[in-house]
Amino acid sequence: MKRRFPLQRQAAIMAFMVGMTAVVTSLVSGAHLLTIEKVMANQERQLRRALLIAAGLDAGAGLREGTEERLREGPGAGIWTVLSDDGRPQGYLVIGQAPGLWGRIRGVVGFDAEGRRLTGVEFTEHNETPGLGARIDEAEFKRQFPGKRPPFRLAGEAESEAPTDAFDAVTGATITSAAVRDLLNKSAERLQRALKGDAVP
Amino acid sequence: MSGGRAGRIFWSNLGRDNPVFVQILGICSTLAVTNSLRNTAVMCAGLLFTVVCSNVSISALRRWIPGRVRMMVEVLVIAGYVILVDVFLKAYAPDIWRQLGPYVGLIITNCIIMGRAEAFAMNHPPGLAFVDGLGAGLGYSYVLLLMAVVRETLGYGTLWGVPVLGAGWVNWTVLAMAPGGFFVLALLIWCIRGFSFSRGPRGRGVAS
Amino acid sequence: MTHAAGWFAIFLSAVFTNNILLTNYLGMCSFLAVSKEVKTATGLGLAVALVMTVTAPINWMVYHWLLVPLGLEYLRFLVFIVVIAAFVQVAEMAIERASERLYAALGIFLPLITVNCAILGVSLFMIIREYTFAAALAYGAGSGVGWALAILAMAGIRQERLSRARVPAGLDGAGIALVIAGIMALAFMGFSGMGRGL
Repeated sequence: MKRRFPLQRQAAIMAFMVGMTAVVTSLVSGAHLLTIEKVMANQERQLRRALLIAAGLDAGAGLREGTEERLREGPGAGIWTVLSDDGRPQGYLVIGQAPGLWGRIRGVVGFDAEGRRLTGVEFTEHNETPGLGARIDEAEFKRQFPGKRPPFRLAGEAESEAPTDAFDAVTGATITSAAVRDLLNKSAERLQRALKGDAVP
Repeated sequence: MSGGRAGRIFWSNLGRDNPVFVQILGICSTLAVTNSLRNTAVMCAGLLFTVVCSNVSISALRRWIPGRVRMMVEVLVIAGYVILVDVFLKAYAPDIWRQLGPYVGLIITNCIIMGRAEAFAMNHPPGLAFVDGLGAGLGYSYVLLLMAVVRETLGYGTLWGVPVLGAGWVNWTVLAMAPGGFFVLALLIWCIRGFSFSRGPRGRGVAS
Repeated sequence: MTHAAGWFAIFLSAVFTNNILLTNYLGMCSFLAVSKEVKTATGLGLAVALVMTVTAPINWMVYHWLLVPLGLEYLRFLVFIVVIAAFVQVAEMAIERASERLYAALGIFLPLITVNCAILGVSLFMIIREYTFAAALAYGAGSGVGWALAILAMAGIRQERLSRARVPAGLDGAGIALVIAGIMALAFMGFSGMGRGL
């Protein structure tokens, strides 16, 4: 069964496809260009917010005036310093990442001035399964981190009162939770190296 | 075009020809997110928008679409609308967009949209195609929302993120995970077929 | 860990631990519709495996060499699905001319594949996971094999066991197929964690 069409017909089909593609592409591009600024602003705001939340400076009730002035970049790449009112470091923020179940998980990990205790964790980017791994974004999961000390591990089933180095995994998302653990531990190590003045890889 | 015909098309999509119960279509991308009511609602809204728009567009274009590249054109139109949904969510609901991740894009391959385009929009006028799209989208959405209610309530003890079952509830985590989706849908199909729809001849032995 | 071992790990995890059909529900429609007989399921499984193995690297090249340099990443859904649809159409024509028997076995399934979410899913997830070219190839092939394996197992159960079992009327057909899929998903969950050790 050979399907042969005259050349004009083939050309007409091609032209139709090209035309359709052009129309759809330009519509989509138009929508993209209209919203790109909004999207960029969202991302910028999200990073700022994540930094402040991880530093424990944002209680969710909006930002106080001048809070953002207290963040300084360094020491080392992807690390921020949180200054106290008198200009001394009161904590550090590490932008870390680890491979999750589906893709990279990125987050800001906040530590105290010695890098020995967490002040907060906020995730900025992930592609975990909606409703399972993606629940790391929920306040209930993130609330457990302030005060924990590295190196971290996942709490066992029987540990009702979690010790300071363990945190509760997201139920049904073991790999995602392990990725969060890795992210935290790597961030803690990076901060320690940066504080000792070593080169940060 | 009488209102009666449009009405029949609309209602049959909700009941007798329901895309999920009867045709078992289009559960691919959305089944995965039915462990959370909010995510399901967003996905269903995106699907409703896409199926209505693509149905109308394809129906309006149906006289000019060459038969050989029909599928390509349909896919192109559908993909265009889905990207609009994606872009919109990204700009105005970034938190939800982050939760759903790549699943929004997968609406493109939802068989219902393609199925309606192919089976209905290609040979009906835009008005009826609109009604059909609306019916198919809603018929799909209510089933999935029902599933989400069951899965989120039993799986996490919450509904729309709000705890409803109290602290003493032990979560049925398996319902929130992949196998739970299959079981809940199977049970729903069983219930609904058992209760309301006419039973056809016993399918066993006929199909295989 | 050498590169080859890494690719092998990606392949294995795509087949078993992260089976795209059973953990991500992708490609469910044709999975349920075409799993009544082993023979047709084999045809569809092979076709899906073929298309996935080829389109994943093609889409990788298109994305990294065309879309990223031009800053058009947001068009990826559109471009990926068009690439897949075009490949399916070309493959259909090629198979038709090359071999009557192969066309009879695979041909009717190819149009179904364009709307198989698993194929688009593989292309999207490969980008999200930032795979290299070789890893994308391994992932595409692994997912294809995994999908074929799942539908074959399903068809085997439905043809050999279910045809002799007594199923309640309301659950017959799709309902019981979903229950089986659920049990298979549970079984495949048993593999989880294995890939991490590699």
